[in-house]
Amino acid sequence: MNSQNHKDALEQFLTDETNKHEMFASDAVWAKINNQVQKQKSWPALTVIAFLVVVGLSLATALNYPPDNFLAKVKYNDSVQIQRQKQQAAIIAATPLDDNFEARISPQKITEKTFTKIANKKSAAITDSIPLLVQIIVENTKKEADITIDKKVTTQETIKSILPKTELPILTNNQLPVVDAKISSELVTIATNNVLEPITKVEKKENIATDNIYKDFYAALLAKKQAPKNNKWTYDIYVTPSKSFRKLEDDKERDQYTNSSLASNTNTTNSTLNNTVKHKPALGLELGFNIGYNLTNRLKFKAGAQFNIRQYYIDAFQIFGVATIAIVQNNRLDSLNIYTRFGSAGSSYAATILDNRLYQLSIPLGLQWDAIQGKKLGISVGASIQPTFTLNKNVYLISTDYKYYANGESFFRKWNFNTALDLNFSYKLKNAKIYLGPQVRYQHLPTYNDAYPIKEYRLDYGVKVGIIKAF
Amino acid sequence: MTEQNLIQGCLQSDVLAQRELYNHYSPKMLSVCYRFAQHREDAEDMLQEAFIKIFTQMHTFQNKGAFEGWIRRIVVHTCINFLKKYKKFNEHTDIDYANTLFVKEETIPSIMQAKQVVECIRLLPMGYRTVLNLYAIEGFSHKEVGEMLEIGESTSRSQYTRAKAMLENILVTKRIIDNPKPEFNWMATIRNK
Repeated sequence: MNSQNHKDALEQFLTDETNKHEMFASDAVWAKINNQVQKQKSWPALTVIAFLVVVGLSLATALNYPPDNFLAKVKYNDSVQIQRQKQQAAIIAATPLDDNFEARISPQKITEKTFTKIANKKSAAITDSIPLLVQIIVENTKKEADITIDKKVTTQETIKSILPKTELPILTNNQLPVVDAKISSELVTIATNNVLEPITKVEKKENIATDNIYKDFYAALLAKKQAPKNNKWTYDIYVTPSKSFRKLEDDKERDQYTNSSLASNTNTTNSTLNNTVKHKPALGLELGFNIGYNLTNRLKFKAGAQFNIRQYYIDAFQIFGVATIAIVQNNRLDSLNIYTRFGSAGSSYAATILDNRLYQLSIPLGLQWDAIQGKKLGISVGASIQPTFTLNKNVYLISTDYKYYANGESFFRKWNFNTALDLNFSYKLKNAKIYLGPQVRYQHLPTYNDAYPIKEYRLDYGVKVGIIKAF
Repeated sequence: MTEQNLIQGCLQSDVLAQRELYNHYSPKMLSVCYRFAQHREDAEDMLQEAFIKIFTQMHTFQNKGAFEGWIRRIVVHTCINFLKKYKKFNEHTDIDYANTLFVKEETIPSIMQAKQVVECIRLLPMGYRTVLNLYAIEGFSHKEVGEMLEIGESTSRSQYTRAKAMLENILVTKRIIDNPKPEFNWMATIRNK
């Protein structure tokens, strides 16, 4: 740029006049500049946290699922396998001729088998209806039995005496179902208790080995069939309409410095500050999900993600001015002047409402304790700590002379911590549980950073509604 | 904060220092942008681009000249690049526009004079206005203007002459300045002879 030494009168006039001219940019311009400049050095905190949560959940799932894998428990070693092969060879050798393959596929045998199957189905239906755990093994019964029951004992009359209300099929000796030792001993006990004497002996068969794999397999099936579902992992989805309240505290640290223009009004107290700032709580929302893990029967650990909308309104007046904010940093008093269009006092025709609305992402980590567990109804209490990241920053703060509201994004604290406490009344449905109850959420750190002397603390009251299901 | 503190703070990416610097210089710089731009929105976009450059290129400032001059240079170049990028000026359209320009006569209160001068400059066609801004107000030579706008030095001169004449006319019409050329008085001429 070359300065022109010989400007004529018009050029000089233009230069002088244009240099006097000033204009004020809208708030959005600074917001965009700040976003662009800060973005370049921002730490990808959300990405890292999301990654850690995903890795954590994947590891937890991999380490705990499936919890009862029976195949994993069967450990083979050479000696056991050799022994098993020997036993199987002995079984084949000791098996009577009619149990051989040719005999088994003869038409007569197949017909018998068919009848046996039909009979066993009916029998199984009966045994399912009684509290005893009777497992009838249908196929290859003789090979897999540890014990047999004397034919005289298990007549239709005998069982009828035990189960008087059920209909039993007529079984011949060859069609007898085989039951395992525990069940048969229970049958014996019942039979003897019911006075019927015919049980003469329960003898254990020698040399008929039972395959451990089959045993485990049946045991697992049995356990699966009979044990109630007890999954430790649950998930829940919830929504909490809530209202945001806030409290302001002026730390007045700036009064220690001898700069009278920036000193606070010593006559003012926090209550006058809170009266000057006329704010109205507004409806917000929390929407989230949790993955839960049952630590004990009543205590559950929960982690998840939550999206929050928190807002409140400020009654303000449209008035142009400069909001001065005193800053104490590094033991030095300084000030920041921000051009603004809003004041805390003014004519009624210029009244306006400022909406301080925040969009946040939280990661709730907490515990839930089921205080009362009824058949249908229950009561639980929960507490969680929520690291919270605020997505936007366009909020208004009050100047340190309490006269103006200015855009407060330069002072905004992006990360904060909240604690939530809730009391839930639950109702059990068929496959899920719905719950409803009050919730209180408190913000631990002031909304603005330490440079801003007026501290804002927020408190939300809401009603939490959700549904919880087991995986 | 002193200017040196502001610069140091901005170099350390201190948001408060950046904000203070922006608050201090943005009103003047927006006025600069406004003289180049077609609309206020364009001016704000130019200002935004310029300040992003200022904050990210702060380390290139070598304390040799005035800091405001350095900022102003960035702002002006950003404005020119913006106009080039969005093809905001077109010489033929400019001349057509200049021929149809009509300025309403009015009296301006002196307090508003600076604003009115800027508005008068903005009445000029885009090409004329840019050359006039660069040469008469920002102090670039015709050679530099030609290089910046990718036009010949002579084109810059001729455009400036026309722009100046047109602006003078506008300013007179709006009674911001007195007529520099008094009306030709043939009677007085005869008497003098």
